Amino acid sequence: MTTATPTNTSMIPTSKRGPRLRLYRARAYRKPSVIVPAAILLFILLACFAGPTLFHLPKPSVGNLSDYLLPIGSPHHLLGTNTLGNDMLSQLLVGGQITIIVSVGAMALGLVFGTLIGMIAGYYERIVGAVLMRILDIIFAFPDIILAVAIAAYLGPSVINTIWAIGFFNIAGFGRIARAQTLRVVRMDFIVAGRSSGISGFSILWTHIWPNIAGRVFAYALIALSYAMMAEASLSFLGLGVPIPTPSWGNIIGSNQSYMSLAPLLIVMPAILLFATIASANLLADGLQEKRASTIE
Amino acid sequence: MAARNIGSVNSPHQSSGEPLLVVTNLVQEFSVPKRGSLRNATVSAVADVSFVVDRGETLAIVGETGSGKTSLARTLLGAPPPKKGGITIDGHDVTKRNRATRKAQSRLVQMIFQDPSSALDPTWSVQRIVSEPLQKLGLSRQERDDRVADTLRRVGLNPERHSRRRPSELSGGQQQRVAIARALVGRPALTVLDEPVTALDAATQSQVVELLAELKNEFGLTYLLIAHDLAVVQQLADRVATMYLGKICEEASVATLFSTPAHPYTAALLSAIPSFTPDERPRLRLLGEPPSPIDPPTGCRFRTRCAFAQEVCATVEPRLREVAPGQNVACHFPLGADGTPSTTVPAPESLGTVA
Amino acid sequence: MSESGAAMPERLVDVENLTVRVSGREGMPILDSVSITVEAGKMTALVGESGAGKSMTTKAILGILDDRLFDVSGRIEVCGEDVSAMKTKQRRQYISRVAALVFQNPTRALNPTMRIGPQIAEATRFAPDGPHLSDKAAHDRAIELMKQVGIAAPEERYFAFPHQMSGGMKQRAVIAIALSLNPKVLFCDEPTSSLDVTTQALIMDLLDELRARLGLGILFITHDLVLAASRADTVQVLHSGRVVEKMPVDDLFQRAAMPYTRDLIARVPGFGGDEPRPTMIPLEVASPAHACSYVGECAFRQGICGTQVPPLAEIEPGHLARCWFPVGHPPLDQSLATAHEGASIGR
Repeated sequence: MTTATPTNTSMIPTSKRGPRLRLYRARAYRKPSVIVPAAILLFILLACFAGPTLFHLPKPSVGNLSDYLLPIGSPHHLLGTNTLGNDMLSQLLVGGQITIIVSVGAMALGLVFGTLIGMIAGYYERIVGAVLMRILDIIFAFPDIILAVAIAAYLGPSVINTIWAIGFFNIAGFGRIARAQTLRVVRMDFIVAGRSSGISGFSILWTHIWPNIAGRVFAYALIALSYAMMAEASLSFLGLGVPIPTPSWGNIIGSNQSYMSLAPLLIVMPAILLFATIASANLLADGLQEKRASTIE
Repeated sequence: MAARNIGSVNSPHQSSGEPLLVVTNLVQEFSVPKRGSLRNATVSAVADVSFVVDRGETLAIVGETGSGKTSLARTLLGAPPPKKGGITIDGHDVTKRNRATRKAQSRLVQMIFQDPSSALDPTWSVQRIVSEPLQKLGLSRQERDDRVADTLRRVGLNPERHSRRRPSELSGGQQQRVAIARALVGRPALTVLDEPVTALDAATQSQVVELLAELKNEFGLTYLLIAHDLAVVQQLADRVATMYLGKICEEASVATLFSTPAHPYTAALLSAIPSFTPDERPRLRLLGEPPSPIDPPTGCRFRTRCAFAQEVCATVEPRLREVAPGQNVACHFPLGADGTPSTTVPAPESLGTVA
Repeated sequence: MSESGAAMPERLVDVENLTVRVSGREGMPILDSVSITVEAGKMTALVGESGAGKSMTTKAILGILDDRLFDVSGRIEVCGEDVSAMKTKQRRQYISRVAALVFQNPTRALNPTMRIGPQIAEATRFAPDGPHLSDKAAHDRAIELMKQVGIAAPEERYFAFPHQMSGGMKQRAVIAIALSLNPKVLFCDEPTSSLDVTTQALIMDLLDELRARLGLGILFITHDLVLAASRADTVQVLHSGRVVEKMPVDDLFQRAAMPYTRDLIARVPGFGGDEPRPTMIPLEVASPAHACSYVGECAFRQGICGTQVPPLAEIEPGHLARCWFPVGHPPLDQSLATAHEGASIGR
């Protein structure tokens, strides 16, 4: 050690700064705008996936026609039954499972492929980037739900095909976000520094760029999730999504629409669940963004 | 060239008599969208620049914003590679991008950037940042960690205390120290310093300049210093080149250039430095505004702002030529010791009539 | 620099004992009895490192500090009127008529979506006769201002966007906006630190010219000691919210007396700091509020430096230093300590 330098390090009482800063980060999540929507989402998730086995609910599609349209609060049928005598609680929870699986799957599809394409397009700006972005532009140019309808109609109704149909148009959205964020990070000097140390392009994408864009991509993922849920509901409502008898929130609404005046609750209940889930996902995304903005300050 | 021995980590840099860095006729251009046109315009950032830097020497390149000095620095790093011309560092042609040069690059050239907050990945720890250039050198984990700790200590940081921090948990001066450690950990043959202290406050500036000078002496480093702060240049550099609109105007030792600048641009640059003593030389002011690098003036690029420009300056581009031992100037009418043009007739060498 | 009587030039800014505290917090104030004068046609440089309180001083004088967060006390006179007594709204209106502020970063000071000419023209509308100006008159006044600040070809530049102009041109445009209300005094907060040296010299030339032609007084805030020395008439050095030295510019590099100023000078390249420094004596400082602000790093400190704030005392005519042991001068009379603590004496 030589002159001038030791004072600098000892002048600032940095020793306590690291842990405190990290603690602060954790604390920044502890606020109503994050906790409330996260709790609602968690509750819905747990109810849908653990509920049916936990409460020994009947299978959603094995109802007895003699139990036709039982009201809420009936014995063995807490939320009543539908026109086929199927238990509504079971329909809603299992339908929730399907809806969540389909929308998470579709979102994940977009996340993985879209982010990958976007990152590559942003990193290799010139020819590869231009070609990839034009392809994404073409996907983007189609009205998304019509594209999904077309794909779903072509592939035929099934759970997997619904995931593909919705996931496909999600790719463009993730691609855009990932590319914009990559372009921001690529301009930073540490990328130049990494390249000049002989680090390969793929390695830079994975170790430098991804950690720096992950936050924004995940924030978008929550929004994409709610879009996917809406798209699933729309497709299933039209009969192009999850096929009956497998329930999903969308096809519960769709199959019961003719009984709207007779038993409005059959439509209202899945609609409320759908709304609660989508709203919570959006609010959570906003809450997390808020936190991000305040830490940057 | 001897591309083989660069794989072995501990081989010392060749210590032959040839210069460490040889830049020949380097050209760097960028295309930018042109207003009211579908075609792109070309910005000539570096235009036919040649120079050499000897081992253990520091060459400073000074110039205003837009003079192309940062483009030059980045081109040396291959980000992006040059449009034309040659760059040889330690005997290796670095304009050829192949596996061998890529692998050797962290031992050939590293850069210290202006803004440490952009030069350090905010999601990485100090330890990981500093060890990055060692990744391709085939060291064991233990060797790597030791090198990182040594280097951190050498730049005045405490490995135990700082190596697990993220850049945002360090002060600006400490961040720049990390950036210095990162650049030097692989013992590069050439270190490019791009405005290394501009982003720091005054007290930290002098500490970092001092550190850079110490490291240079201790390890016999070769610096290419890009700066607009002439005070920093005076402290660190052996030779200086002034750049204007992508061309080198003048190149001389620090003492010569500061005492008897021969290019009017150099003289204007020097007389613009605030000074607390009355100048003995007449103050030279730049005329007008910097021209656009998209459409540089014909002939001498500086002529539109030069107080001594004549007709020939608009038609013939002056060549870089020696006017005094070790002092090269690209001007038809170089200034004499009194600060006025010493000749009225352009010298044949500057017109390019003599081969 | 005689400070007495009727022959004195017009004082445009006269600040005395300006003290700023964070509301409800005891201990060290942010600014501690700062006194500043700016005379017509002169430039006073306020020199200090970041965090010394330079910008805070301007903000306090201009009355743009949030009074819910800060307690401001002291007498602030701008162009002959005591503004500290005025109501906020009245004060801002008055200040905007007589003073203007030039910022460090011209890019941030200009609206990027608006052409430069209309921005200047808009500024002229805040003049007393501004609201009644015709579009043509505002345009002409803007062109006139652009000429005044040395923007070449103002008729063409009128329609340029800020991003189409160089940094120097943008700063000229900012100065044109500052001049639009015919101020008597300019507050320049590091106006050239984002510019190249060559451009810096041209902007400083412009400020010199405006001073000579319009009789403007300028308070020039900078961290650059040499720049201050090359252009200003009076230099005031600020450290930790206190004015520690105040002198005519010629004294700065020759006869600075406060050790802090001398250390700043030693950091200027070419002044290498060769002079031998006495070894520091160990010293306990009980409360920073009752000690010299530089006591921690001062090579010349003695016991009293840790317990009593030295007064800003006149050690030579026109040269004031806040130091018990000014370099090259006899030590201050320590009996002044209790009588005049923190206040200006010698006048």
